Amino acid sequence: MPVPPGVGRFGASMYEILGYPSTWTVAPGETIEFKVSCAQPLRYYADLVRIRCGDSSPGAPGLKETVVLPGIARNIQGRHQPTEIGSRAIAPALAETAHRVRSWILAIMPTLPSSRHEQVILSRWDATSATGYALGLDLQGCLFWEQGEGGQLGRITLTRPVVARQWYLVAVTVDDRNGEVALSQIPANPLLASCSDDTAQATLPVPPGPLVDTLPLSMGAAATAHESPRWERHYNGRIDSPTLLPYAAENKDLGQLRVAACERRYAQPPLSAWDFSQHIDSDIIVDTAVAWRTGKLENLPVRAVPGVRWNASQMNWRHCPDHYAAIHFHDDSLEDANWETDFCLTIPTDLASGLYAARLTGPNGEQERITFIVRPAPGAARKPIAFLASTATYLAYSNSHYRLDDEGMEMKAGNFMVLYPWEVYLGEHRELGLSLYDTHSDGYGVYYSSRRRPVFSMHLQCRTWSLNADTLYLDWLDEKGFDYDVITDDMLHEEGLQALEGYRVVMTGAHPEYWSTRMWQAMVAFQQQGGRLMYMGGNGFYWRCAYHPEKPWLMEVRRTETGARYSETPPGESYHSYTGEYGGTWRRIGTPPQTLVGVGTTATGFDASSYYRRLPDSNDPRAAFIFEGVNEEIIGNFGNAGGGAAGDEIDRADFRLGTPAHALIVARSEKHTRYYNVVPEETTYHHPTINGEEARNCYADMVFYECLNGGAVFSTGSITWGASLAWNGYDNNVSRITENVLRRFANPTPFPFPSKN
Amino acid sequence: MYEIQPEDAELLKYFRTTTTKNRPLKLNRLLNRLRMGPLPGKKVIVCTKPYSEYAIGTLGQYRGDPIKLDEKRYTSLADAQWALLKLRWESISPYPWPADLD
Repeated sequence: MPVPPGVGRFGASMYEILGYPSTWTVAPGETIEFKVSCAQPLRYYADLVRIRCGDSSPGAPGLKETVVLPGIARNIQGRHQPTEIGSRAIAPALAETAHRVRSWILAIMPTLPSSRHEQVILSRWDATSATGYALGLDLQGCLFWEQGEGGQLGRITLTRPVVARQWYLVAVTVDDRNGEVALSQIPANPLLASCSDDTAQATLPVPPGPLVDTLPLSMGAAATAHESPRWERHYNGRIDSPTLLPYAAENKDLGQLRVAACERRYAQPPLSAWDFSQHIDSDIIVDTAVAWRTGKLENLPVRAVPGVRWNASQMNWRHCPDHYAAIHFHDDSLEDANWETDFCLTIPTDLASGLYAARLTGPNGEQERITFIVRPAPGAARKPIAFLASTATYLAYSNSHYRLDDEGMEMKAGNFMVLYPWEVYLGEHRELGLSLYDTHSDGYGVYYSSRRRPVFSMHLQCRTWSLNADTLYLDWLDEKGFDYDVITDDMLHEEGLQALEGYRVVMTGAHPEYWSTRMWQAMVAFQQQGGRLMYMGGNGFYWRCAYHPEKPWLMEVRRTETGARYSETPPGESYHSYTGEYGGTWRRIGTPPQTLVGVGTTATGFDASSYYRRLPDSNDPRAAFIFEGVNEEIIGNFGNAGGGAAGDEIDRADFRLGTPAHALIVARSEKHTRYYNVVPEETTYHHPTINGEEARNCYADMVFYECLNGGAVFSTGSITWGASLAWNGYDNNVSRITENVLRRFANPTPFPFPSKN
Repeated sequence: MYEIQPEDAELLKYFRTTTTKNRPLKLNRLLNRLRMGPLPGKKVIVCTKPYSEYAIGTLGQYRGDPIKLDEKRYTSLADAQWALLKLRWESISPYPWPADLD
């Protein structure tokens, strides 16, 4: 039984109200919508607050916010808004019953045959009158076909369950003249799915043709008679080439499923022939039997995955789409929570760029902050400094469940599992969807993430991670009195270099991990124009991501063969469906982060942080400005994230991977623990000395170098740097170094490019 | 998989006086073993009030199942970790929890 929303386990006020905005990035003059759901009916009001800091973990500065517009919504009647998860394909009705004898043939690859619910693979089903037909899997993983009218249903079930992750050729032949039905499954690979071929025949009630002909075709789920949920019995698995023939299929017809779609020959033209190899980069499916007949996908079933004809000869779906004529459905995917808008806000034209939230408050202290970034208006004057909010990374982490779902996480953490309220809530509310760090219920990694739902990585007062961690930089910028704009990855991807033009320096947050090709190219161009880049985090510039070309709220990540990742991308699935680009780490793609910021990921660990020790390069006159007023040799042996400025995920320079030859490595961290481990791409094989105590290359490098045209780069190579800024009332060497670098980088005086090392 | 030895019981007392920065290797090995195990039914620590109150919880059988919380609350994470250490030892180790540790 699902847990009701807002179960009140963490006090009366937590998660009683949840919401999400229509966009994460909005400009002055534009309107943003807020979609809100309440666990119980309540009336709430909303203020617009500017967020300076959200991190309330022990030792952190705590929540700092200022009301800038009180009462942007008043006396709103909040109510529960349902969310439906699970993917499906929907196609319009098609007349089929004039052909009294006909067959569906298709290939299926069930990935979770023994689920806790029945699964419908294909159906034309009117739940209100309980009329129609459905092909599915029962609780034991056995294929069934059911049909009937008005609740008088008959079902035929095979006795041999399917083998998970194996392809089957399936045929159902119905004879409406006498109700005879024949159902069969043949494993595509009899060796790997031995003894699972099966057939059965029965006489079943015949659903009325005129009604069946008006019903839409659904794949991956069956319609309900309710407003919520509208769909049920979601299928976990793949479907390839569902085809409706106007006669009784024979084995030779089933064999056509092994033939490329364009070369199939049938005794009569199919009534319907769905070719999922067409428009793979969209949510449109095409019926090649009927001109202009298309259907649509809902809730993010996966495309660009190998189908029944894939034979490992092709790895890129664009090179041989017919090998990729499969769609993978899941019972736990989500594109759009589809909540109705409760209220809107038009951003005042004079509102300064920054991080804001609609702060919703209920009668008993229930509270929710729906965060978003106000960017500078297009064409408006830019401040010298831009803080780049890592919205692509926030979207990747979104609603993470991996600490609850992956039993290896306790060993990775080096501590007993401690589940915080936000993790418990997400664990018990699976309807809010998954993150790109999670696996689907069938064990396959998650490829897509959507902003159109409550996204917990955009929350404040939670783990020092994602947006919450980046507010430590906003807090510090405000504390030091810097004048800055906040821009976002989403904006950078949409506008490219234009988003960066006018700024002297771009400062990243703690973890700018995900970069689309367009974002990457824009940052390279910014550098080439003399722009200065302060990379204030770790594990940055790591994975390539792909934004949906038409739906900016969607992002895709295929992780390919290496990198620190929580699930393995199966063979043949390494090219993004949205763009056709090869996925994975930028290092593997051929442009390591060392070429952009001088350092790249070397290790991760989450038990404790450490400190940096200055290196001889810190005495180079070129680096003098960095250490002005810093006399200590040890940097950052304090902070509220693990007790040090070097931690969580750390990066190092590597001249073989593209760290510029003239780069100065001014400091290096040391004394990391055994629970730091070198990332897979840093060690081609595993051995006992890849931990922080023993590994040769398990440290963070602090790097500075000049770029062409007066530009420069400064990198800390550590996620926890920002959590040390506020220590001792912001008076510490991490804060001092950051301030020294930012003041110099914001100064228009060009950095001279060194003529010799 | 490491098989817990009788002499490992002697290491337990160092759990409260060390951190991952200075733990003996043998204690780390023992703790790794006590952290391993399937998730269904696993005992964990649940923070019931951010950073100020903790409880021992039991994970459900399936994804989405509610986490069952014990009634006892701990005001320090260290106390909750000690309680969990004892539970894990009792469920995984074939040897009794040393009487002089409580």
